[in-house]
Amino acid sequence: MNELRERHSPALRILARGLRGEPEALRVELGLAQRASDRDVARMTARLASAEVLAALEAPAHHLTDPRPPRVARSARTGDTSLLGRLEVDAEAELEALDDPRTLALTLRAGSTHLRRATIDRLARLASQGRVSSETAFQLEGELASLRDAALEHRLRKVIAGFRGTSSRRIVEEEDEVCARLVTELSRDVTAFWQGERETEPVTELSAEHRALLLLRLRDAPDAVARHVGAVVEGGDGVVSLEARRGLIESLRHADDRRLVPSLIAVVESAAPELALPAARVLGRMADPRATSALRSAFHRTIEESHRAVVAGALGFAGDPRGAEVVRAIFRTSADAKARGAALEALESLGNPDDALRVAEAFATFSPRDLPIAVYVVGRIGDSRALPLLAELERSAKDPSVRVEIEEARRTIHARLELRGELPASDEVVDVVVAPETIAKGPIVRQFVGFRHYLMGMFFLALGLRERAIGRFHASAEVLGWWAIPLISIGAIYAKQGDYGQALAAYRRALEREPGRVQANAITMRLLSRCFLRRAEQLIKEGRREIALGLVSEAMRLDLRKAPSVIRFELARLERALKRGEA
Amino acid sequence: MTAPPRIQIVRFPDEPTGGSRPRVRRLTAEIEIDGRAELVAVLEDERGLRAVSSDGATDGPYVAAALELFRDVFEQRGGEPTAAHVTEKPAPSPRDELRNAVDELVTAAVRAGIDSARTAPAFKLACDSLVRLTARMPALGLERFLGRLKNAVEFGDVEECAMLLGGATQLVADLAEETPSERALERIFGWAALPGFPACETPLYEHDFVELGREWVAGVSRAALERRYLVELGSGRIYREIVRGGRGASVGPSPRFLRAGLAIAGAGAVPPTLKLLQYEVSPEVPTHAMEALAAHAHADVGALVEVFRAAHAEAPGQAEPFVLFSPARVIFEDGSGSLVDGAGRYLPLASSEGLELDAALRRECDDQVPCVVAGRLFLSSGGLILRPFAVLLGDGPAARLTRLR
Repeated sequence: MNELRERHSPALRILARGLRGEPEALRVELGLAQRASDRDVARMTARLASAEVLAALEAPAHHLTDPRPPRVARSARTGDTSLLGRLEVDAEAELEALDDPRTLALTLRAGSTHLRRATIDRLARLASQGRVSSETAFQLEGELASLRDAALEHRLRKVIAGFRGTSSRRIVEEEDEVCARLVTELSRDVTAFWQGERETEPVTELSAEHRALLLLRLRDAPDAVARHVGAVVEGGDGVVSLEARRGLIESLRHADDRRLVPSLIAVVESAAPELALPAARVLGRMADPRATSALRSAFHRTIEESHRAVVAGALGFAGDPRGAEVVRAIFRTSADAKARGAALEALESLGNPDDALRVAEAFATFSPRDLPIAVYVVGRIGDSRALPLLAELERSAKDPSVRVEIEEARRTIHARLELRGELPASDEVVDVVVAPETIAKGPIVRQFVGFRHYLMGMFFLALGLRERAIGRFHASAEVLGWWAIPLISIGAIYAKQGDYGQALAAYRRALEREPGRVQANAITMRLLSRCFLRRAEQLIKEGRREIALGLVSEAMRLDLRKAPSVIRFELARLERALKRGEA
Repeated sequence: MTAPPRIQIVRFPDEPTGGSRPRVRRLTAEIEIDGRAELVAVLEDERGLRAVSSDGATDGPYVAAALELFRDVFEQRGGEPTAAHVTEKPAPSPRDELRNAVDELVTAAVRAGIDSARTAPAFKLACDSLVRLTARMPALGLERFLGRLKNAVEFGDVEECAMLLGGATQLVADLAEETPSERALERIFGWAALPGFPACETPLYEHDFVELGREWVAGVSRAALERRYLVELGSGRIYREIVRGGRGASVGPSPRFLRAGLAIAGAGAVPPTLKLLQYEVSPEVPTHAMEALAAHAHADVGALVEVFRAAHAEAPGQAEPFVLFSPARVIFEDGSGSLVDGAGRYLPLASSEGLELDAALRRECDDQVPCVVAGRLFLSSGGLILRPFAVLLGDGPAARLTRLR
């Protein structure tokens, strides 16, 4: 059509560019008098242009992509290149290479909601192929409580229910029976409602337990029931109160039924925040591209801090990290407790290891209501630097819910470390606490403080006080969030000690910060590549071949030109051997 | 500066009749210099005599010319009351207001050019005056027109602007008719319900409908209007229920089956509007209704092109055609999809707007060829694209209608 405009259509050209240039020539082109008024020119232009557009319409004889420019940019999660990072970015493809139940159990514990869902689907496929033993099924049953997600628990139970003797089989059979009865009665009540034979809406009148069960298994219910729930969500039933509607939307958190996506999108697009925000939370867990699209639009047009944090968190669950910096800033600096609380929840899906540390360092500032959430978030993000802080909190915490969260967080962090082939830092490291106010200072002050910590670290290293040196380097890295040198130094200390698991953690963080600098340094690359190789060998000896392969593949994606050729060769050989199952 | 040609000054009599001289408060003139014209408003208030041109300038050759021309007319006379029987010119009728405001909008848009209209003050002023009009009269069609035009200007969509401004020009012509024809009255009704103009509505009795999808679209503000698309099963005609802010919409889920005892169809837009007054609703869409959808679907992309043209001929500026299409096959390549008819002609699926409805359709189809895809037709680079709202898969008792939007 641009071609039409430029070459054949004066009317479209004028419409695009306006009445600049030679007005008399334009008028003549349009068949008007030379002194015709702008008004006449405008009318003729509009008339001719619309006629030309309609006349030029045709049905193409080949496939065309929608030529209009994209209106909302997609933003993919840029995962790290470790096995866990690759699983998070492309779970379905990466999981196909995993069939070790121990590794799958780790992803079930440590992964995001999306990864855990994909892991359960993988387990279901393996079980259908007879490749999951009864012993594994019983072990997985032990993991159910730690899933902390009713929808995931339900899915995994269905997989485990295929094995005789498991309690899941009995539970699923009972639930199937209750649910079937519930759906039959509800279908009848729904029909009566729309026929005007029943005045009150039946779903919101169910008991809490039955409603939860119905909504958990909604994807198995007939279309009419799902459509009815959608109508109530949108307010199309005409009778349910705002409060009840909000309660229903909140209960949909684990529904995972994409038939509800259009209704939830309608609420996010048009309803007041008290309904739109819970709907956004539900959409974030829906694993549907329409949901992600609607959340992107909502994020870009939302202004209020606390609302932005909620939508950003939902987007994070959907795999789009565009709200991460916003959430981080709100958590760090907002004076609005509600916004800060929303940001804390959003960090579950958007937080990075540094965020986990910041949340852990701020445990003392949380209210009793928010502290369990903070601990849960730290666990879900999963950084080993939070382990000493969790231990410290455990010593002082009296609230059982906090103690339970600490235990779960610790197990999740260890699962993440194991998947990444890392080991937690030594208990003997002398941590240096960096006050949050320091992080908030201007760049000159931060540079001074950061360099000072680094120089102190070098001083302690020269004295042979490695643990003190590591503490100072950590502090320097925390103050100067862009600088890789302190992390390289930590990696080097651990590598020279033979603590390859600990060294990997530091080198990975260094690579995230300054990948070019790290990979351009021959000394660093010699130590770094050796860490990957040696750690992979250790894992192979422990029987953790899949994680070893993950490490080696991760190393092979780096720029190894500065690494010793012997190590390069050995990494490539080991990767091939592990893929063939020979190592 | 030489006085521009074609100016006529009207002077009031030196001796007032009835004891008071009428006082001019404001004059607007179109002033042309070297082939370029600007509207200049000259007014007098407590701050004295002032002038501003349509491009927002308060000085320059156009303003100077207007002040020179009209200064005498605004010669101040203090203390003389205006006679009761000498009134200001009567306020324009809603019809004239609408006609002038739409005409002004078309002129401002073309004058600035779509590539620059987004930042042109005259275009913004013209839009604002139409927005003010919508607050004073029932004008959902005008509200929607404004939403579409602003979006089209924002994204530099010249073709869409051409269609909309062409429709606006037709409205101006219709409103200028002394005695509008029946067709003109219908077209006008599609924009606004003007006082003194007949409501072009037709009652429908005992008709069955299936709702296929809903959306919230821009009016004078984002997502201001909710629309639901329904197919009348006997004729296959598509209607839309449209409400502002979701208030006053009929109840029921989507998709739904409706038996309307009484509904009112409004002319002047494509799809025509529908108000459901007496109806029964069910979330179950019976098999015969789904069979009727399949029977009414187009199977030829060429026919859709004609449907699109006919819609714009019937309701210029107020046409947003919604169709049922039965493809022979569906292809997905390079991240986008097309429906293909039996003659090998393609109807691409909309993907750039990022709604991911094409991805949802692909997922629902899962390698099956859908029986019917229902959706809105859009213009794009000389061709049509379809935004899918619903898909019908399978047939007979196994048929399943799924809402995508």
